[in-house]
Amino acid sequence: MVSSDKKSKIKLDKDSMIEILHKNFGFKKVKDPFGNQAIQMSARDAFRFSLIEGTPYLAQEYGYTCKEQMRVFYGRSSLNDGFVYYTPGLFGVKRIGDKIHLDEGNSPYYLNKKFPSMFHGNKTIIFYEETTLESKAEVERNFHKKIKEKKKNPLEYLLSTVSKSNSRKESFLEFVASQYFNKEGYLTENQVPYANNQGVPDFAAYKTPLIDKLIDKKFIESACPISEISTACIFSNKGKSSNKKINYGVVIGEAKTNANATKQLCTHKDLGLASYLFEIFANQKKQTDFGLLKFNDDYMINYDAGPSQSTDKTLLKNDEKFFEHYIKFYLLGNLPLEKIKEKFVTSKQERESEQLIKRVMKISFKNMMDFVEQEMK
Amino acid sequence: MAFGSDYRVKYLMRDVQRIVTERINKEGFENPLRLRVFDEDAGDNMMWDKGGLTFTTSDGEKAGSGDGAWYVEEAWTDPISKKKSKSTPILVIEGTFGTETGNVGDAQKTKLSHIFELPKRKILSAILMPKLAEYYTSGKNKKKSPPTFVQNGWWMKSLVMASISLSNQWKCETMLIDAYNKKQLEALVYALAKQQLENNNKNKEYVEKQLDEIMCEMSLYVEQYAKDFYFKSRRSDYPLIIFDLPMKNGNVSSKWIGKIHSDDVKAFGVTTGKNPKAKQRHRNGHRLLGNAQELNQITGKNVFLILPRWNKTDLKKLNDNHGDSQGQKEFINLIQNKELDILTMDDIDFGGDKVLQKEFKRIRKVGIDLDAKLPENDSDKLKELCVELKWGLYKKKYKIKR
Repeated sequence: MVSSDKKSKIKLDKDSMIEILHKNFGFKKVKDPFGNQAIQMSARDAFRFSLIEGTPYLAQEYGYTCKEQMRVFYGRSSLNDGFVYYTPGLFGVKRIGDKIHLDEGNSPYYLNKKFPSMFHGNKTIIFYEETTLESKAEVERNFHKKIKEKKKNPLEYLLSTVSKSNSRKESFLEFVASQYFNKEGYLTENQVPYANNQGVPDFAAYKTPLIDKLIDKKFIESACPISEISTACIFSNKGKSSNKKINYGVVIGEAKTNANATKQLCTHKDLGLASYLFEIFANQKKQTDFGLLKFNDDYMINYDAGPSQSTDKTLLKNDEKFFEHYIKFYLLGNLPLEKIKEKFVTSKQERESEQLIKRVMKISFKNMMDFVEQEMK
Repeated sequence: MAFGSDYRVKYLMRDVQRIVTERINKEGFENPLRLRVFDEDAGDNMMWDKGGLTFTTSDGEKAGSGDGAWYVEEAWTDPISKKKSKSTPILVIEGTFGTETGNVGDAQKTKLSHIFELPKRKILSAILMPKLAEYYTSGKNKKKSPPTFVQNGWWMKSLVMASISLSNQWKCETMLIDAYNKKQLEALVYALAKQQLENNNKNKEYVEKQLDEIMCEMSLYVEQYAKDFYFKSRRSDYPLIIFDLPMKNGNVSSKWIGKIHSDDVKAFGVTTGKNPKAKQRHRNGHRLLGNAQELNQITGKNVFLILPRWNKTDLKKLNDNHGDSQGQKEFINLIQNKELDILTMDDIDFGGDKVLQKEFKRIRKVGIDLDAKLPENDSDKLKELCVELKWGLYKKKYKIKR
């Protein structure tokens, strides 16, 4: 049981968000073109911020977010009788007549072609506190215009809209949790493949021996959000593996700004997949049975893992198998479509996406790493 | 945060706006069209005159909201609500990629309610969704082998028919646009932008050409289905539509038709509390409302939702506000619409056939006692009973007590 603390004084507003990012992750506090406090981060961290928090790049007049654009599965085989629930996203689709074909998707490989500046140079996150609900597209357009008027390059900025109320803060909390767990050596995601009727978690973190393999092959710099594996074709990675024996494990978090997450966490507990379950921020009151990630009065993360949960060993074993396949798709995301199709899609009769899935699931993890490494050269 | 397809729809619209703006800039003009789109439902749910994406029904109730809209910065008075706004809506979009994740079938029909109120205001609107999508699901029940089981999810033909009918009724297009064919939406938005720049004959014709192409594709798609629509339900067990509804006086109603649905009152969130997941899992009020609205739109007739698993007590519970908030909203929209109504088993004269009535009563009780879905044998039985009721009504063996 997590011990009871007095309720934190932190209100999740623009200023506290900046402090949380600065104090916990060392992101530099800078001034935006309008003289307001902002956060500067590397292109890699900005990608993570957009991917998880949803903040759009001002790479075009109407902004572009990476959130929800790079999905591969919306349901995992371990929870669905061995069936994977694939969905377009990282790999795209097009329809010709009554057939669906694979197409260029939203992988970083293609985003880099569409918005070449996205993955290069430092980026500044502008925090815009809205007083009333405004059309997000129009807010982005106005900022794009105003930045240009200040003789600055909009491509170097992301625009985070902060509401006055507590709403729309869950994604920020998920980003904080993701950064925290990355540092602790976990792969993370906030678009967790679960079927909708299983209660899709807000956030998941994975301990896996695959992390060291990915680091050794320079696909990742260190533990990171899963989609970042597909950025190896852009970012150079020089990290060092841990060389520790790691067992597969899943941690699930639920981000809440108003009500508590007890109901959802109980559902996850019943399922028996996660070794630890925790609530993120919430109203910071006493919780029972589960962990809690919150902030102290100095904006520092205070994480209490809570009690270890009993897991279903067979389920966990099956999930580890699924997870290995899952990661192989993100490795493949480093390549252009023609190279992917050349290797995995050869039949004119069978559905292209189905061929891709089946063949990727057949190839070993090592062979997939070797193939992608070779093709990236 | 759970998966949602809204982000993709909203960013697809942004992408279209970017491309159109670039094209117009190259021609030496500024794009007169603005894009109103929010990342959260709260913005969508605000009324148009307050800067949101929601319009009212004729009764002044909130209708379904859109996902985004192209507009111009010109004063506009809503012809229905008479509210004044600084922005004139040009094209409102309701979108979904839900078919990619298995939200196929009746779930699509709920989309109609999001654009239903627009043509009467002479606002163009479109449902943006893949014409054909593949969706992956579990093949266990179909005895398929893992790891993949894929099915096709097409635009629902009755939805396309209802959209065409709505367009014809109000002489203003309500469209279905293929979300995998971004160029079609781009061409339309570009044409609308050009028309706003200069409303001459050439630009007007260009808009009409784009609209015609979209409407033609829709018409072609449902050509055969539309021909069969009135015959199919008279010839086959499904759909459970009764076009010749015998009333109390023995005559077939000239105003009303009926559609049987096997849902019980959990559809609108009335549960016993025994099963905490019942409210979420069995919520189908939006689907029932969508079905009734669609049939009403296609046929121009008033529609009874015939719910033989309900009795008058169930109806009273909803009248007494015992459903969940969403269910109550849908129920109110249904009963306030003079062209729609609900019939329970108490509204059906089963004649001498006490067995059928008794079976509906029994199955109603099973579902309510369990507060969950019916066991397989009762579920199968219910399907048979609904078909029996349909043919009994067609043969005037049973009547509606009205």
